[in-house]
Amino acid sequence: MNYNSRLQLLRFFLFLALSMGAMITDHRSEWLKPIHTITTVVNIFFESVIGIPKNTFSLLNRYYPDDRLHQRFVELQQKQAILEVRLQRYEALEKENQRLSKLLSVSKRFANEVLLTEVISFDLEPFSHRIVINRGIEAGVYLGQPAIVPEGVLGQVSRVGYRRSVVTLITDPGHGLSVQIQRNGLRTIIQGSGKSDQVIVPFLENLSDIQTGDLLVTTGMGGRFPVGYKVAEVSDIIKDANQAFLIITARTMAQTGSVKEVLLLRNNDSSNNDLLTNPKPLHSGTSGESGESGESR
Amino acid sequence: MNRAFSAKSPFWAILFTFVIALFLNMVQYPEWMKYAKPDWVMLVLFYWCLAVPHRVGVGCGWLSGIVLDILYYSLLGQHAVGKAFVALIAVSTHRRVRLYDLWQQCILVFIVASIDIGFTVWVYQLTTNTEIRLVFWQSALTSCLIWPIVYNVLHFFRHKIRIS
Repeated sequence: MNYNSRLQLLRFFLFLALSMGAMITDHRSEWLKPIHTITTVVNIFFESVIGIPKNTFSLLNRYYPDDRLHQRFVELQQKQAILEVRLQRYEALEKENQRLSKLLSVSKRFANEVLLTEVISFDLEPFSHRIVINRGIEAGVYLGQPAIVPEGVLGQVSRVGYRRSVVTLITDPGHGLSVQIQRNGLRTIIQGSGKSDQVIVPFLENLSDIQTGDLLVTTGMGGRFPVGYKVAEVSDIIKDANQAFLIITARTMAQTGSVKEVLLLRNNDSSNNDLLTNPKPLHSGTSGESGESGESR
Repeated sequence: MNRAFSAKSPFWAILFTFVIALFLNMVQYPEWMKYAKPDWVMLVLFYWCLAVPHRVGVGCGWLSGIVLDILYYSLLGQHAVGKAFVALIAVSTHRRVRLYDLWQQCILVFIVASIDIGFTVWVYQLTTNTEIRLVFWQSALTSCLIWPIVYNVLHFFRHKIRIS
């Protein structure tokens, strides 16, 4: 009589305790990280089987390309040429900028290596704001690595596995990020709202100089994100005299629904390397710190 | 152990249905169905717990939950608790529930699925302070609407393979 209900109840409480223990260890400590690295093999198996229809379709497309594809190719080639010219100017500017910041003895905050990754899946669960990308520990992805798309900041790596990593989006309610308004340099933090493509600016006082349409960019504080990347655009400001703070929502520049490729930034600077292995805020006490070091699991 | 892995045993057949259910859980649904994804694993687990409670029970439910945790990259144990609970309810009430009409079973599936989602959402709220919204429970509704189909398909399958 294996299905004696009292025995089953006992078992349930045993498993309940076991799961609670596992969840707490997983959330609070790093002990289960090796397990996560190994279990991505299971993910790869399932995801590759699920990807079969899509992959065969793209394979067919590769061998039987149509005119539109050729047209697109020509378009992209032209665009590439234009961008290359612009890039040359940008490189010169960056060099100059680096020289100047060295003069000012500002710590270097340029990402000089970029890793291109593909998105495997988003909406893992409807209430989670995470995406899975196809590079992991074998490509040198590390915890807390900033992830961006050409439109702006997307999020940061919150779990690293073998050939898979999880990126927590900036719209996740557990994610905070230090930003400044591009127009006047006012620093604040943003927090995920739990709704897609929407973040909130929780701590700006009623008299703060902020308008709809203001662009929020990263400040580089906390040491994770390099300075100057676009994050979000203020879309709605509600002023309530009874509240201490303005109620501000902003729309993220990165449209998470249509993201196919994600760029992971990496700073080769040796002075920042200890930060990569041990992701803790650089300085304490500045307003942005608490936000950016806020855990994002 | 020997019996469980012999050729006649339903072990592989049951595992097969679970794997299919896991695949169905992993498939990406269109944007408007985002919250209304039926939980296939939970339905399959519920069926087997009703049909063969001496083979599939709390342990199986917990294991399937752990596999789901791995596939969803969530905290280990987040789905497992809910699935173990589903199995517990199904196993301890299987004598009664077997006699229910299909629509009565649907109601039970809805309640059990809601509690299952509740566990997951609760843990999610504790770890990332997500605001809990009623829309998360749409999945329970679709699960209970799909239950008659799952029931009939698995019933047919079970009698074909003669699992008892």
